[in-house]
Amino acid sequence: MFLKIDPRSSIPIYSQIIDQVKLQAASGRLRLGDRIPTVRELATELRINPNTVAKAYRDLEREGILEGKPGQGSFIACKDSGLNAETKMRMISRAMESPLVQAYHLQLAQDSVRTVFDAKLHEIYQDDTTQEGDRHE
Amino acid sequence: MNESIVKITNVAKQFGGIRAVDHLNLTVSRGSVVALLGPNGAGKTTTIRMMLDLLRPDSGTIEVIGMNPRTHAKAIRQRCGYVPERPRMIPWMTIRKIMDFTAPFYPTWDPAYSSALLSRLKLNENQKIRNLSRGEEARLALLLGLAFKPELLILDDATSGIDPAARRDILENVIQVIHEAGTTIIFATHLLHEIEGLADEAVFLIDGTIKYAGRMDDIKQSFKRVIAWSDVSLTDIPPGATVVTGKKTGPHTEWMIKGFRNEAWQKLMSEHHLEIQDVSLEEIYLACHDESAG
Repeated sequence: MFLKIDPRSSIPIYSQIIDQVKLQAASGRLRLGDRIPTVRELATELRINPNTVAKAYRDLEREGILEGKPGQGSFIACKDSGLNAETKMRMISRAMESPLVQAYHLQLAQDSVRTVFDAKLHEIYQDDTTQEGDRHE
Repeated sequence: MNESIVKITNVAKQFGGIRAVDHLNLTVSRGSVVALLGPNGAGKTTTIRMMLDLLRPDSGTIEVIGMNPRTHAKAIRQRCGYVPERPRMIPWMTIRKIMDFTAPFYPTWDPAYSSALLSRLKLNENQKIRNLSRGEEARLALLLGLAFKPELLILDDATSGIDPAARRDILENVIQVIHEAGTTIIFATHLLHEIEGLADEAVFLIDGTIKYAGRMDDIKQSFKRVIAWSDVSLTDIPPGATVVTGKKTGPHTEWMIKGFRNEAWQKLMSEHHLEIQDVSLEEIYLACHDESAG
């Protein structure tokens, strides 16, 4: 299956779906136009509540990551989410808080954190050198 | 989602001086999937049977789809699918015969849908009940509970003691019904991993009363295993948290904590190098169980 959901994780299943679809789209494992499993297929395969899957898909559509085509299913769209730069920065800043707090408590030096950050950045962006706002347009 | 389909208020039931259900309060929202968990004798089946007027409460009130089971048992049963652990079915009948026999009781019985369920549940309509395996019996019970498109489906240990393939077929059909019809599901079970990803809410029933109830997402946030590798006593734990169980094994001590909040524990975690682990529903269940036993 294209998503790995861990029902015992304290991360809600809804968030696990959202995060993994975004990550896979961002890392190129899912490409523009790829059809992803229907709500029923994914819920049945993973033994999770279809309402949870439907809600995650709806929110991914709203963010522009997915596009639902009636009768055909959901496709990776990755068009711009319509959020302004300021909002995007605020979202990312908030998301970074938790790993940084963790690094602080693990007494990791700032340089080590930067090394990890750069490696991850490279892994996900690869050789994508497009400017802000240019992606997927 | 907030409209309640079941409302149990202060219900008690005794059997020969033993309290099977002890002043129970429980509300089930329409469209939700509720896991009813607890050891044998906790009162799960008694509670379910009272909802269908198969038993009568000594005191308290029950409302199912806005009706009182004591006065509207038939109307309730016509709109609730009920799949018991060991369904009683007449052995000489074929599957087709029992379907024809059951259908007239339900005004909303859908013949086309019941035929579709036959193939979905991989049943042969010409087979006799007496020749069915335990797994086939359970699948047939689910068919009879679904063919009239109930608003509420109650599964009382319906998947216990059957083979994994039959269990899969039952679960997949339950998932389809949630998807297609938004049916409310009450799922009493001991197989906790089965409903871990499916339930919206979990209710832990022990000794006839609710030990703990909450939304699955909240439960997963709230319960954590905390492990200390050095000698630490959790005397001043952050406010809001309680120690459910604790044990010392070898060099480390571990606690099951309820009411965990990441922010509140950060300081304690770094001071004592505590390890925090997510726990499965089964582990939470066992901790709640041990807490009341101990």
